[in-house]
Formats: sequence, C-alpha cells, structure tokens
Amino acid sequence: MNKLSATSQSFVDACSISETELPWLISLKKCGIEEFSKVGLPTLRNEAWRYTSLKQLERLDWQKVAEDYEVGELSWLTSGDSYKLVIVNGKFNYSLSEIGGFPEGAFIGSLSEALVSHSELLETHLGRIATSKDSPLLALNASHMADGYVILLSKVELTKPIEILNVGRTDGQAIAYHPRNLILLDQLSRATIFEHYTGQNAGSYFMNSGTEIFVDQGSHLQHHRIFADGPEAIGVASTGVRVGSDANYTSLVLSDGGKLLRNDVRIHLSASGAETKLGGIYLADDEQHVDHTVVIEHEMPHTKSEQLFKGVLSGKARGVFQGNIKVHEGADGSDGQLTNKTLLLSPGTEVNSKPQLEIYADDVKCSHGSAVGQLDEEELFYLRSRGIPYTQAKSILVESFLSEFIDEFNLGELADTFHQRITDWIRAD
Amino acid sequence: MLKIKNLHATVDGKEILKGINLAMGFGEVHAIMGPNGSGKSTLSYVLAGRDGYEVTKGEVLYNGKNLLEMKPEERAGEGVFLAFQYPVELPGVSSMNFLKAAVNAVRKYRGENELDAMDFLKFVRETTKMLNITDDMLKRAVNVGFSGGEKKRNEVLQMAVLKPTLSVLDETDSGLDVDALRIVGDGVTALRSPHRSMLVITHYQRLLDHIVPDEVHILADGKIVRSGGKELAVELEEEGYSRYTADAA
Repeated sequence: MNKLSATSQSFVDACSISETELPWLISLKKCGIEEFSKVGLPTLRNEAWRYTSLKQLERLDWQKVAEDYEVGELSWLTSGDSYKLVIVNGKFNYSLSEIGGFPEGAFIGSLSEALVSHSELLETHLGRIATSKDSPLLALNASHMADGYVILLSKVELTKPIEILNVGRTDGQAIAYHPRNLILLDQLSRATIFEHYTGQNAGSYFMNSGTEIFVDQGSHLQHHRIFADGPEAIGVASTGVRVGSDANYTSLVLSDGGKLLRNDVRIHLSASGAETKLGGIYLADDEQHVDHTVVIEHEMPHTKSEQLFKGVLSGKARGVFQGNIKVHEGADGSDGQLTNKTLLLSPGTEVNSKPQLEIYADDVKCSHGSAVGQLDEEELFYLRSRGIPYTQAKSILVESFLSEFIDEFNLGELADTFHQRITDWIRAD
Repeated sequence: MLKIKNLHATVDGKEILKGINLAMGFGEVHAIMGPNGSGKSTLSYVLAGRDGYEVTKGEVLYNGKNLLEMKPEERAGEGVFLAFQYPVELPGVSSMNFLKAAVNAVRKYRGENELDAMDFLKFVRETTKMLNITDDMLKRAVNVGFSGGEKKRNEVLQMAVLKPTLSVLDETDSGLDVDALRIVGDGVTALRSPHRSMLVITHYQRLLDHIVPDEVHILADGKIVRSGGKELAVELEEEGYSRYTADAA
C-alpha cells in the first residue's frame, strides 16, 4: 500500500463503521476504504484525471459536517407543482422537504430511512453501478456511505417532477461530505427529476457525491441538473447509470458554479433498445475549473447514445471534456454520437477536449467531433453595424451558440431557467 | 450631410484608399462605380467602422460630427447603415429577434421608446410585404440557408426598419437575377426621401436603372478619378473601366 497524503489519510480516518450496521453495508464501506487506500486522491498521473487536479484539496483541513446547521432561503428551479427534496451538506432534511402524496408503493426519502425500509432492494443495487473500482472518489464515497436521497419507482408514472435541492453551506470551517443517492425506475416507470446544486455562504466545502441510477424495462427518466455551487466549492459528482431494455435516460446538465467541478458520468446501455441522450452546457469564468467526463458503455446490440456538450470559457477558466464511447464485443448495430464545442472568450482560457471511440463490434454507427473557437469577428461587426452594442452583440452570439439544443430536451418550464442562467452568466462576465 | 476629405485607409498595412474626397447633401443618391480592387468595399467598411480598416489620413464628417471616432453601433444609432455585399449568417439567432434587438437598440440610442413584441410585429409587417419577405423567413436564423436574393432583400428590410439617414449599399446587386434586382431596386427606391441620402456602390450600371443617382463617381486605385451625372454610368457600361485602370496605373 502506498503512503497516502495527509488529506487522503484524513478522509480515511473520518470513516466510521459501526458493527451494528447491516453486514453487506459494512463490507461495501470496507471495500471502499480498501480501494481508496490503494491510491488515495487521484493525481494527474491517473489517466482519467489527467487534466483535473484535486491538489487544492490538500490545502485545507476538511471537517465532517456538524449535526445541526442552519439553512437560508431555498432557491427552487421552477415555480410549478413538484415533489421537493432538500439535502443540506449531504444530509437529507425531512422538515424542509415536501414529499407528501407520493404514489403508494413507491418510495422517496433518505438513504438512512431506505436502508431500514427497503434493505433488500438497496443491498442488490447500492455499489453495483457506481462501484468503488470505477474511481477513487467513488470508493471514498462508498466508505462514507450514510445519507443521501433514494427514489424507488416500479410501475409508476409520476405526474409531477421531483426537484432536488443540494445545498452546500458552511461559514468558517471547511467541510467535506459524501452523499450517496439511488434512483430506481422499473417496469415502465416514468419520472422527471430536476437537481440543483447550490451553495449558501461563501465557505469551502468538498462535495463528493455518488449517484446510482437504474432505468429498467421500458422506463424513462429525465434527469436534468444545474451545478451552481458556491465560489469556494470543490465538487465531484460521480454518477453511474444502467439503462435496461427499451429504457431511456435523458439528461441535460448546466454547470456555472464552484471553484472546481468534476461531473463524472458513466452510462451502461445494458440491454437492447436502451437509449441515452446527454446534453451539457458549461460556463466558467475567473479561475474556475470545470470537467465533464462521460463514458458510455454500449454493452448490448441496438443501443443508442447521443452526447452534445458545449461550453463557454472566460477569464482564466479551464475546461475539460472527456467523452468516451465504448462499443463492447457483440454490441452490433449500436449507434453512438458525440460532439463537443467550446467557445473561448479570452486569451487566458484553456480547454482540453478528448473525444474517444473504442469499438469492438460490427455494423456500428459512431462518430465524434470536437471544436474550439472564438467569437466570430464578422458576426460581431454585423450585429454592431445594426446598432446593437458590443456587449449585447456578444451576448446574442454566445446565447445562440448555447441555446440551440436546450429546446430539444423538452424541459418545459425548466427551459426558461436554463436560458436565464445563460443570460445572467453572460451579463456578469 | 456627408463630407469625406482626403481619406486614406490601409488594410493589413497596405494602402487601399488614397485620398478620397466626396460631399453629399440631404436626399441625394450618389453612385460609386469602379473596377474590382479599386477600394469600393474598403470605403463602405471604413464608413461603417469595421475593425482592421485603419484610417491613416483625412476625415469624415457626418452631419457635422466626426464619424470615424464613433463605434459601429453609434454610427448605426446616428443613422448610418451599411447593406453588406455578403450578408453574414447568424446560426441560432432568429431573424425576428435580431431585427427587434437592432430596432430597439437604435430607438434607445435616438431617445425613442422601445417597441414591445406586438408593436414590433405590426411595424415589421408593413415592410415585409413590400419586399416579398415571408413570415417563415423571419422565423429562420438570420441569413442561414437564405438564397442570394433573400439575403439582399433581408438587408433592405433591415435598412427600412432602422430608418437610416445615410445608407451605404455595397454591391447590393451582386448575385441577383432580374426579378430579384427589381424587388430590391424598388424597395430601395421606396425608401428615398428628402432627408435620406444613399451611397450606392456597384460594379455595374444595371442597379442604377432602378435606383437613379444624382451623381456618379468613378473610383479607381483608391481615388475618385471622375465625377458626373447619371449619364456617366451609361458611358461606363458601354466603354468599360479599362481607361480608368490604365489612368490610375
């Protein structure tokens, strides 16, 4: 075993395993500790982390989250009727959540509650699709597994969306937390989930989430996320998704907050007819670092994936996009498309775009493309020659670059929120 | 209303305009004709304020103000309009939103109230009919997938709604067939008025059949080498430019 850095060691030391916990949970946590202890926090030598350094984590002394905390005003993404979950510093908050009237037989609530009420289902799903072997951060997350949200739907079509508010809040002390979330849709279930990551107060927090999503047997999940963490936040959101037969996972992500964000998504198209469509918008300014890393595993024939990630960088921001489409042996007739485009608004910005295809099957339709550019001088002049001031002209062009695919995702009222965030970001830049 | 005095301009360090003098009054239409490479487009870009066109000498007074000191958007606000030879495509920007942003920007500059969506639609509809511009064109992204004729009609539409006092038409006839030329020519002619001046830049005389100029200037090698009435255009059409290019050389 390598000697761990002080910070890595402190994260291991912070794990608490009680002998009274469920035996399978104990072994899941122990396995997490073991995997994480092998390497500790990833460095740039780790291929998957070549462009994103977590060195900043070494500079602070990260504490566990205190039991009692105050919460400020909650900022919901939509004004419409929805089930509302509030997670503060990784802890599910029942008193702020509004989950009344959830369909019978379905479950929505905290991980700790689900461990008691749905122990068997959790045993067969937790740690199965976002595993400790996938990444050191997921291993670390598993070792701390204690709270987060759980949504279980079987033969249920939700008529209103679920909105999840993940609040990071700290004043002085730097805190670290590792929520584990689980979403299970089975047998023709349908749901729409809006997830909002946001920070209150300007303190440092390290949010290391692990989310496992199973969309099985003809189910459809729309899972849209906005990462707008606080200015000193370091966020790593690891998500593992398994899409089953004739099932569909659709997700549009927008990130504009945090000091550093790594959105790490791995999707397994595990049965024929499984489809996924992912969109991403990243906006970064000043010294922000944003990393969207996506791996799509086409494991079975006739599976389909589509990814479009677009970003705009300004100031000294750094952007990373890594997209990998893996078509496994035997996954004939798979269709995988991937596009990444980045617009650089100032000379201090940098982007690393790494699209990859790994194909081990026949008769597949795959493509990838990547482009990096600047605002077109001719387009800017055309707008200005029509009386439109420079900043407005710039904003029109950036918005048109980003907005074109928002409508494809049928976001309903949330589309306005996405457009508004883009406009606000441009204005603030 | 427009006075160009001894205007010199360079592009990438190369002198293209070599001392242009021109004076236009209110309501006048002047044509600038010249062979390829004579500096016609450079003159239009200098007047509109495009980056990369450096004025090294001379001045341009527009309604008594120093035009060259203004940003492109300020010139538009002051009433200068350039109809592009090659209108720029703006993917993802709907024509309607673009027009509305432009109209409201110049209205704001001129101290007028901005139009809301309904009033704006009414305002635009009056003009689109005349130029044979369909609602479908207005919904599409600016100039994306437009034919040559549609692009030029779109330029004239912008000119109509922005109500300029000085319009510079840069080879507005290029790439147009006879019918499109007539629509564009009629559209421009309809915009003529005693307080609107136009500078029509063209290689050929045919546009001037539709937009009849008060004066014609021949531009060759960055200078105006001859000025005259509308009959000069006819003469040029018959004799060609060879005489002037030889003169200039």
